[in-house]
Amino acid sequence: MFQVDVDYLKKAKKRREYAPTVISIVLALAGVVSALPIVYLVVTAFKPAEELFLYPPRFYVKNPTFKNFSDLVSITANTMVPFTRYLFNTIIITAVYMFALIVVGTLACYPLSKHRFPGGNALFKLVTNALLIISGAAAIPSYIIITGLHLDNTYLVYIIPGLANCTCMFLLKQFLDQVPDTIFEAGKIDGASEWQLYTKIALPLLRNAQATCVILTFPGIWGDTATSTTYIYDEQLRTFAFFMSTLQGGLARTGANAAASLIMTLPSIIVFVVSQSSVMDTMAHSGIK
Amino acid sequence: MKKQVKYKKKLAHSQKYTLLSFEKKRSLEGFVFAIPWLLGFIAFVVIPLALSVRISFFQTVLTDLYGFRGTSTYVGFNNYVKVIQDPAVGETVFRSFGMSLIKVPVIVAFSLFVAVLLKQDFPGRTAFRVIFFIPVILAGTIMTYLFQDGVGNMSVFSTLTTGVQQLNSFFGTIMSNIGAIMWASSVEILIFLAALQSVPATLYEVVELDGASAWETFWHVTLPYISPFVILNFVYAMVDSFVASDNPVMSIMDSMTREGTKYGQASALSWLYMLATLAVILIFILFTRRWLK
Repeated sequence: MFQVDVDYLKKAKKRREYAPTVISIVLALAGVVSALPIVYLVVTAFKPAEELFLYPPRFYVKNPTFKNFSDLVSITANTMVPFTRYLFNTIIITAVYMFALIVVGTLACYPLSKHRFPGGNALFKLVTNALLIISGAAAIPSYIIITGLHLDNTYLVYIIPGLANCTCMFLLKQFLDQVPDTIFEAGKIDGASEWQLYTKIALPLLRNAQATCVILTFPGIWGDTATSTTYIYDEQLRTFAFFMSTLQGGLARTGANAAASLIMTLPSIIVFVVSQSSVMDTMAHSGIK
Repeated sequence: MKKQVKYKKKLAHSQKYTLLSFEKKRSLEGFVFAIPWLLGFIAFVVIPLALSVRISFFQTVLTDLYGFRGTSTYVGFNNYVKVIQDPAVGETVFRSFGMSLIKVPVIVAFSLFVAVLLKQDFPGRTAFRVIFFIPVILAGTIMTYLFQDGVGNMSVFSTLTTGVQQLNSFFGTIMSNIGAIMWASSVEILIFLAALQSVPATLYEVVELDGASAWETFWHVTLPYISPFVILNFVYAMVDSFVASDNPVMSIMDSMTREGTKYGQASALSWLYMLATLAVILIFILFTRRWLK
């Protein structure tokens, strides 16, 4: 009887030794499919013309070349507005938007999470439901409001309409809910004002959630072309993403196009890889429990 | 002596009847913090939604919409009736629900599978996590590029799966969507991972001592413990697939909006569609609430 148990334990131990390898293999197979689009994106940017149009398309490149990038540069050299201007616009807009989003979001999530004011819960429910229902129908009314506020054709139109971001609000509030109230009470007893409680306690504790908000919203604002086409009439104020999207069209530009796509997506990937541990942490604590 | 008593009384009185208590005053201060966000929320979420309800009762063109001064005509529920009676719309809505019926369980099962694996300790875990989460952040940017007309006018995934598609239409649907499914699972994987991390390690130790296999452990410990998250993920995946920009209903709405004279109908359709979606989700929750705890 005892002998059997030892056998069993031995087997179990063996199984546990093999488990990591098996998991790696299974995940690698699934991961390949998941990573394929990114691989394709990177590889295509370096394909010479004769490989670009191969059928079926290849997920590797035989003769890598930088020609697509130099094509892109030569195309951008002949535009009315220098492409550095577009890049400048995008960088300014993205930076200001990120900063304002975090300030507005954290400011609002602090009282929602740590104060009980009438209607607070109802408001939060409204926010989470708004997450579900925002759809195409609101596009026309938003247009009316934005043009009515005379935000069109300014930098502000990129920034202001997106500041009341429901997803970020949800994440920030759930994250702050996990922080015990006693910390804030201790601060109050020590005579901290609300502003001090916010800047000295809430903000530092929310750092990971802030990073998550940045990651979730960064690709949207970095790659935003719709705002430029809908609300901006002045070429000088349009974004880099818009400029890149104007390059599309025409087989001759396929290579340059692939290079442009890579350039557009690279910043998002870098931002994500750099801060992915914060994201994991926020998601684990966003307390859907 | 008398004076002191009077003073004390006065003090007590003033404490009782101050305009705002300490707590209330602090709450009010906090509320001021929320004002910028609230303004934005009202201006760019609440008002547009309210306006879109209003528009759904009007026959209108864009120039009329500014301030509602123009010649918009109130048509009551006509827009709704028109949308309901349009056979093309009804068919598309049912088709999109049917597609979701296949897609959603596959997404949930796949993401649960990946999350269980990603939770284990093995070399290269971080790298795999990044690979599976990258779609979350790239959704908008490359998805359109890859799934519509890729380089040389072919979608990456459809070329991969043209062979399988001819085998069997049901299996073919899943296979041709497999890339899309994997890309749609990222947030679900995150939620499952967070859920799995909340299962107490002691539970696993207990069943291990009792000699449970990994399979038994999964079905009798892990799954019951995370069942609310399974339901949450079902709901999340449903909403995601209902409002995805490649959903046929969404493209009908888009084309109605572009036509320029059908804003009313587009709004009516979107509210009807939203109600239908909510109904489907509510029915789902009704049937699964015993696992919701």
